[in-house]
Amino acid sequence: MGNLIQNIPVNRPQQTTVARPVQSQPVLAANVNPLLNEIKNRYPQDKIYTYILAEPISPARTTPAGVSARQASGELIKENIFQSMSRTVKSYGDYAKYFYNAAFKGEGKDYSVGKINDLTLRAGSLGIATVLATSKMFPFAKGMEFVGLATWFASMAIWPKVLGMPIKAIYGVDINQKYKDSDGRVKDVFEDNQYRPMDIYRYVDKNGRPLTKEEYQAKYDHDYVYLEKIGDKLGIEKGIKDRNEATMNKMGQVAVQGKTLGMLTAGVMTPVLSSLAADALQNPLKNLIETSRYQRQTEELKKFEQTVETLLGKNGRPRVTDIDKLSESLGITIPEKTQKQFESLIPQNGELTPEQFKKLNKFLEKEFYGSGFYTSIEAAMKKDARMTEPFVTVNQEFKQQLVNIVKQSFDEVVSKLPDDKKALLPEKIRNYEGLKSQDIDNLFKEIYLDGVSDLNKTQQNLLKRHLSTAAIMTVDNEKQGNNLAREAVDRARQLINDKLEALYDSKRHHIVSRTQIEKIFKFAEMNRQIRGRLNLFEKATIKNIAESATAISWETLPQKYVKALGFTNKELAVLATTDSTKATRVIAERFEKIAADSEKYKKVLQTMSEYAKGAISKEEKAVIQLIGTIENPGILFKVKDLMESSAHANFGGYFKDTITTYYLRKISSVQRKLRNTIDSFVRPIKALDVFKNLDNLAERIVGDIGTFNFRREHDWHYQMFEKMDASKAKAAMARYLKDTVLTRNDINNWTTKMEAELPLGTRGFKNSFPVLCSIAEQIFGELHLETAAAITGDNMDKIAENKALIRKINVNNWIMKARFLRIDYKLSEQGGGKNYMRQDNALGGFIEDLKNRSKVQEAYKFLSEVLEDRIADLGENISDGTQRFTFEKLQNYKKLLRDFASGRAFEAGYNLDGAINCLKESSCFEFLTANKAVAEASGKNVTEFLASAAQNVRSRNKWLKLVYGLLAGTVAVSAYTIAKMGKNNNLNKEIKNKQSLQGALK
Amino acid sequence: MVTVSNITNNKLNIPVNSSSLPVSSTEKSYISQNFHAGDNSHDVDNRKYKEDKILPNTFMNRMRINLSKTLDIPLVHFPRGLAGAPDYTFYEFLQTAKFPYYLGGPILAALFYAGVKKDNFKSARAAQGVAKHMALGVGLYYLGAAFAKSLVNHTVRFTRGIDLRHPYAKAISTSTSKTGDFKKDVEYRTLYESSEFTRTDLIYDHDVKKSEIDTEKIARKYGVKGDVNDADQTVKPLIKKTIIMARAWQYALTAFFVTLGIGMANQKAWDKMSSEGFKKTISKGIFGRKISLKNRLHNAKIVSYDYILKPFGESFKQFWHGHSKASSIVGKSVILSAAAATLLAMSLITAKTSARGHKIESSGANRQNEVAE
Repeated sequence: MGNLIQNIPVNRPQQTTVARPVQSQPVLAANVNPLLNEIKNRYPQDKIYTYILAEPISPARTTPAGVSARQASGELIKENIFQSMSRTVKSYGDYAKYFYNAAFKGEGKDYSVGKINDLTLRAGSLGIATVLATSKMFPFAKGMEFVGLATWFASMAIWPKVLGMPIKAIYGVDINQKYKDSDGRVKDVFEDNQYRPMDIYRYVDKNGRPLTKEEYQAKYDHDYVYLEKIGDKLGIEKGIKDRNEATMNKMGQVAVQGKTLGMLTAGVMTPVLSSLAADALQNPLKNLIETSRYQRQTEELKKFEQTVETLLGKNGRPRVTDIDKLSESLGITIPEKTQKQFESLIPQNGELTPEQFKKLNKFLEKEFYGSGFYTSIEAAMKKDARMTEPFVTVNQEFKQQLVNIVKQSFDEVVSKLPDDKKALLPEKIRNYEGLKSQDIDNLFKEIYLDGVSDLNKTQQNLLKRHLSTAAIMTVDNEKQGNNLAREAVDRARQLINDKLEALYDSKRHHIVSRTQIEKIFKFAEMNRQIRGRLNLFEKATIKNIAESATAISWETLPQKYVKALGFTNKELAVLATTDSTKATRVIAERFEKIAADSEKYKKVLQTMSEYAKGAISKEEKAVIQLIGTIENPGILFKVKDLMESSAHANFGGYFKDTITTYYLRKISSVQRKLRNTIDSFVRPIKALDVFKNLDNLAERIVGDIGTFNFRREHDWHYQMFEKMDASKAKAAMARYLKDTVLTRNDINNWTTKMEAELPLGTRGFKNSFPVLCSIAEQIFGELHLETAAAITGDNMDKIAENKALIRKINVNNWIMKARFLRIDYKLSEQGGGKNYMRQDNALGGFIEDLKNRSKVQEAYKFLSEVLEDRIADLGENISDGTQRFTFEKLQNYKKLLRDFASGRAFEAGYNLDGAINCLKESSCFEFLTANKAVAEASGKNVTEFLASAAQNVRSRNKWLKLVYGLLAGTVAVSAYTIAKMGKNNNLNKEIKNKQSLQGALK
Repeated sequence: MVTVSNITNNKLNIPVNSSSLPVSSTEKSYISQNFHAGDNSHDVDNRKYKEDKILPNTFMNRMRINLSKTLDIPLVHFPRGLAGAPDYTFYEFLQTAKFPYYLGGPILAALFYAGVKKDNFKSARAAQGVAKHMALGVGLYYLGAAFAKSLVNHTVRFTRGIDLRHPYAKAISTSTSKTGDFKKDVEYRTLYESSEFTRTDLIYDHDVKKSEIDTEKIARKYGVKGDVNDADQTVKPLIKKTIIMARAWQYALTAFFVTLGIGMANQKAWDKMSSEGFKKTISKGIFGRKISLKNRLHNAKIVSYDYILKPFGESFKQFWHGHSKASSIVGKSVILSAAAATLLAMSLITAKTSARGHKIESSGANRQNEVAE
């Protein structure tokens, strides 16, 4: 049957407007189908064809449902962006239902199945974000994955809407117009260009709000007023026939153009908008995470500190020293895995073979790597000799084995001889009787081993010596004059010794006191975990690790410095990409320009000092919590005290020292980290200060013309200037200073640079120690008045903190100077350096100031800060016992200093001079232990600091360029296309009635 | 055999998002312009396909079609869409929708890479690593999506004998294209792309001597025994069911496999071999001059094994094990759930679309299916 129909020369059966409800309207075909009439007219000869409507057969449940006739009830949707968003969110529930029906039951329609894609696309993206987030180590990076996901979908949803706005404004066509179809499914009006549901515009008011028929008719006298309005906007001629159809067609064109434009631009716009949004959300997210992390860790730390304080009790006499109780109160448990591993290494009876013993040591060494605990554990083992020495247990079995060894040894020697030789041996040797158990017992008694249950190494050797002797003794007389016998006995002695050694080896074992070693293990493990807990706080704050507060300020603030200094793009490129020499030159030029302009100088300094304060205060806060001040020691000192006393109570001195070193090392690293940050952030400020006063500084070093000439002639320290005149020397010195304040903290580098400034053939720097001291004095000197004034500023609210910053800069410079001059001493080898810091001109100025009532407060603050910084050196030399100063000493000096601040020192009867002298002689103000490593490692130099910031600025600029370039390009393309929309073009030639008539006539 | 669905399919070949709203006046006409009583003057119809035609389902054919479809996106669909061609179809709209899908990922990766610090040696190296992982991520994302689709396609092909990718050419009337320069006269589609308007009618194309599709085989594969004519009645609804389930699971599995792909792209296994070496081995080692065939083959082996297969396998292992507790849990659950979903998809599609035990209901069942108004 079907074949017949297919033979009818029609491309496709024509669709008629009423044809859809085929099943329910079984009408006579001839009456209804104009196509059939057409066919009949055209092929009158083919009378055999009759059209019989196929019987609707639907054998299975899954035949297309819903083909019965229904009243059309589509409705335009008017909603704002929030309504549309909430509708989208709600629709995901429906989509899930669609998925269930489709995937598990095989039920659904093309529409519903298509919607599943929307759902799974989002589910997949969520999965991707989760995977990526877990692959990141830090919370911010993790969070950003989800932010990226959210912004991605947001921009995917927003861009078509943004694009739709100008189109709607210009042409009145909403390309995103939605409608609800008869099934209540929400669809795009213009999704399919070939299908234009015009009816839905019938009862829509002029603002595009759908009304019910009654409402509408009460308001308007004819249908389609909204379409008419759009037609006006689209410029459809008024009064033409079927104007609304023409409008609808034009709308179709604009919508197709808009939608295609959307597709063309979405691939670029979605990532661009998403990146911009994610970028904008970065800082808020970063701050949020930083703050919440800091708060959480601070709370944790406070709780921990309270516990430690309770355990510590008052007067430094801990209430609890028992290790188990301590761990319990501190909430520390050894991980089960570690505990099990440890237990498996020690047998219940505590006897370990040498192999097992090695294993145990290896485990402990690995477990406490880098903590110094293993050394202490080893020491603890050594204390109980049985733990380190292999032992052999004496029992009846062992004694019997001794008997056997003796007998076997002789038998073996004899049996190996040829028969003819055997006969030559004395009877007693040939049939050796051996020692009896009784003899062995006697032997033990003779060598005082009777009753010894375990033989140590010495005792083992003793037994070895005597056993063979005792065995031979019984036949000693026989070997007289018989060389063969002598030989045999010697061999037997050898054999006895070998066998005994073998026996020892098989029996040897370490006896470890299980309780003792477990105690040590627990204690070491507890300390390791305490440090781990403190590390959590450090990770959130001062540790050089991604996303710590420090890391965040190091990432952002240097970039702000670069901006404040006003580098051009070209300069940034040089800074970021070239070597440090060129970078230094660029920075020097920039600094000179700033220094030359007083207004600018002031402004730059103020901006930079604001940033510096931010970076420093953030870290200071964390450092205060960790190590506190000399007066109020922080958690680290408290833990140290608690653990020291526990170590002392449980194990004695050897473990206490380890604990002290362990915590002091931590403390000094924290203090050094702070110094590092302060130094890095204030260095550019000090460098600007040097640039501002360059001429003065250079002159102070080389001297004015008269002084210079005199020194050149008479002071051999100044012989390096022998081939220069005063102005040249000054210029060389200025050049040198510029370079020095900007480059590496490397004294060797500096001297090389100085020598490079000198004419050829002159003496080098080596013998010019006073010059070096003078240079250090100048570049590490106090900030000059103009600089200090610029930083202080006029804002009364900030004067105090600005002054504090100035003091910080000065203290920092002073400490740097102190550390460097110690290195200079090595360089000069003149001995001057050693005493240099003891001279009053170093710190002495301030110490002298203490006597002066008008200056005492400032001097007190300065000296206190220097003293606080000495915490960084507390751990020095503690292991070799040459500790230069202790925390208690620092506390005493602080107390002494406070006497001056409080005015007590000026009261009658107070030994003022004594106190001053005491301070002057104090080792706490001596930087004798300062070392090159500490000095050179502290802080980033200006060039490095700015260069790495420039790299960040540049990569950000590049990113901005690309993002905004793409954005601008896409917007331009969109604007151009939108401007051309709805116009006639190649594909939209206007076919006027006339033209089509002509075509028809042709 | 003619069934209602055949006729309705032919008659109502309206696009996928059909609606039951009254058909408006702009409804597409399927009558050829040539077919006007008494009108003999018309342009020469030089279209390649004058009517819808099933095409051979060969690999080369599919590739050729894919290429032509891909080229059509920038060359035909975008120009037509931007001009607002009156005969622009929903098919074209869907084709253009692929453009942002394939452009968005790489552009996002490029934007991310642009923000990475590259000025010093250390950061430049790190940036290279980042770029590599991003490129890999983009690549494995699309690979995962393709894999999920092909997994379902093959399941259906092997169990039910129908290939969801089977192409046909849909002849497009060019009558309305007269208004424009870009004439589009064919749309390449697949027989089973729509569950509602499945082009099963094309299977029965009597012009093709040896039918493209062995209907009897399909019926057998569906588990129908006996008369094939009757089987046809049974199989069609099952094909519809197959299409719906297959499509749903393709979408669902895509979510799992793209996640797996991204997860694998982020593993360290890919860091071992440099992308520079990869490029060089290909450009100089395989396609370079003066290299013996043996060495070329050897280099091809290195490229495919050392650079691709080995890290691919290792990245899978690393994703499974993870580098932290959380990532190991996530890795394992992604892999396991992808495997479980795949098994579920395969077994459900196989079980639910079988004609064995399929209850053939009497025509009375038809009434139940009608939507009550």
